[in-house]
Amino acid sequence: MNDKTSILSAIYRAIDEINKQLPPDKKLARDESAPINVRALDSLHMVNFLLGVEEQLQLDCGLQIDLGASLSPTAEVPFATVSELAGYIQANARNADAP
Amino acid sequence: MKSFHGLCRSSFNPATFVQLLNHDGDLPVVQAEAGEYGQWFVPAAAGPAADGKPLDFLVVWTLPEHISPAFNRLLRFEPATLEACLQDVDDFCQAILKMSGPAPLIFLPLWVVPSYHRGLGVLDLSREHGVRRVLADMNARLCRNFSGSTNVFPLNAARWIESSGKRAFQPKLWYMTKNPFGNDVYIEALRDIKAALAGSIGKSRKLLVLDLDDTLWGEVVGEVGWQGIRLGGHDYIGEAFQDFQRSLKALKNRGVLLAIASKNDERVALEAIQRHPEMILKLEDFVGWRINWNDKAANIVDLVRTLNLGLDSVVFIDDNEFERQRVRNAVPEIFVPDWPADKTQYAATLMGLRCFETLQLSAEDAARTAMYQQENERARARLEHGSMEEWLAAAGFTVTVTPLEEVDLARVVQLINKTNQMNLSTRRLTEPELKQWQENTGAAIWSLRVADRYGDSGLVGVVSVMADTEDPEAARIVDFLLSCRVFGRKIEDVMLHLAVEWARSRQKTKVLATCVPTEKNGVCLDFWKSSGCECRGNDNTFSWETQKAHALPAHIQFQENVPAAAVR
Repeated sequence: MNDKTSILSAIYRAIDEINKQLPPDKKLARDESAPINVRALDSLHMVNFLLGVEEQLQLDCGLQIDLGASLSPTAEVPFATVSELAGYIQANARNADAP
Repeated sequence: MKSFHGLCRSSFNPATFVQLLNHDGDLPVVQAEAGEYGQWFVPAAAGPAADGKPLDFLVVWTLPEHISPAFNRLLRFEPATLEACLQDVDDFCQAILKMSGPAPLIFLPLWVVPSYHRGLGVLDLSREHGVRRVLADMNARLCRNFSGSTNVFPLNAARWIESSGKRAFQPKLWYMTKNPFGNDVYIEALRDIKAALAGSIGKSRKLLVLDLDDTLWGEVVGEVGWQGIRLGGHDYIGEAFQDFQRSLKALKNRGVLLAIASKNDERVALEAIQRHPEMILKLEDFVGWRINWNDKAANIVDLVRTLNLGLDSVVFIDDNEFERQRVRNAVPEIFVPDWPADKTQYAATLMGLRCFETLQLSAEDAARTAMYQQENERARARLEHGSMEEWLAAAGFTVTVTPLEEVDLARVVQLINKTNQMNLSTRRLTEPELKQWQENTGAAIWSLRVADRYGDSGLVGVVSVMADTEDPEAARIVDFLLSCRVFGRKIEDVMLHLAVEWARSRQKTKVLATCVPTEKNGVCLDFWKSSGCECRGNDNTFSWETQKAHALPAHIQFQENVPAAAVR
């Protein structure tokens, strides 16, 4: 269940949730190319969004992943679009599965 | 609908809640600001918000361990007494009272601890220092401290937590953002708060129109006869319908009017209501019905018109999606909730509706259905008399006028906030605001009670008049409002008479009234146009020269009360 389609579906659900907190002109698109960066989301929204993605991954894919760790104050966020976030999740899920 | 300006003060980070509140698509529109994290009580800044606009409401949402040092000790199983916890609650309530001046409405979500916190486990409720036992006492103390308050409202946060399930508390959110709750909790909270705000300006619904077959009972009565409908008995569906009727009766007892719109043979349907032994609702619980084969939307509009209500005060419940959609499309003002196919969900769905929210409950609310039934009797009697004047004379009207008394304050404010049609200014005020306004302006405020041989309509009218601020020779009517139940009986002339007499006693040469037009108060403008007053200028200002008295209608017996405790 950690194929990219399932992961994207979980991300889109999290986008629906975070959009409830955003003004109309700031809402995120349900699109692989939609940006996920400091211009699109302030720090509080970014945390809320990533925790929403975590929750949806757990619910939809049974995948436990800590995206909070990607928000290191000293390093750049390792993804800038929805597609890159999905890739980051896939890679981390594979690493978690590795022996 | 008015938009509301609010502020959320919190002992945790309220930003997520405030953003959800601001961007929620349902009415009313809310623009709220988040107070600084942890700064739940900042008296100097509790007044107008940063942009200088006055606040309509304040939410003070705190965690119990942040408010009560004693409770915080108790959470760590350190020594603490219940008395110390309750003293902390009293201190908190005192602080809230100090904040209540600038913000007309204050909402206080009750305190909760996370579901995963088991306190003393099995002993938690049986031991004096059990976490939930003490918390229940603290919440009860808070509610008692604001019992009967007209502007501070404790809210049941435990219900929001229950309906949010496992998503209610999210430790990671707390550690990363100092926000203890998941979004579902906030969404439930904001819906309750928005319903209360809508209720505060009279936007609560007053009339619930019901279908019959598969709505009030199971099966089609025209097919199976009243003996064959599913209602009560040893049948889970029958029990569900009976419970739904109990919930409807509870709403009626709260002051919501019930009516019927059903495609049926009227005789067959009424027979079912009158003869089925398990019917909870009786015919006298309904203020009217349209049971025929005509279009339901047209039937409801006709019914609502005869009750003198606005279409936006109506809710329509029907099990049939086609009928729901038809009414939604034809009359968008009517609220038609989605309705579950599962009959066992009917009562729960009804009880979950937020559209009947009011901030005051009065004796008139409880008696509302009886009053409408008296009105039906009047209408029948009216047909028996030749002219309107004959009927008015035969009905024996008594209007009792009382300067505003403390005991009537809640009902007067309720009328000010709910009356839309016969309402000169359509201004909305809380009790403290009305008292403050009267104190500042020296205005006279009267309440009017109307009775006749058919019954007592209760307190149904309010007039206020003050010295005009621009013309020293003039008095100005500010509030002029009358319940739709008593339109057309010349009570309006009694109200104008009161204002004119007040002006004459103060040597004012004229009485002015400006009708502020809204979508709904056309009937008020019509009254003033036909009142004998002179219409001045283009702003619907009317003037009565006080050298001439304004006579009381001959058919009305007029009584003036001298109150024991007028509001001053």
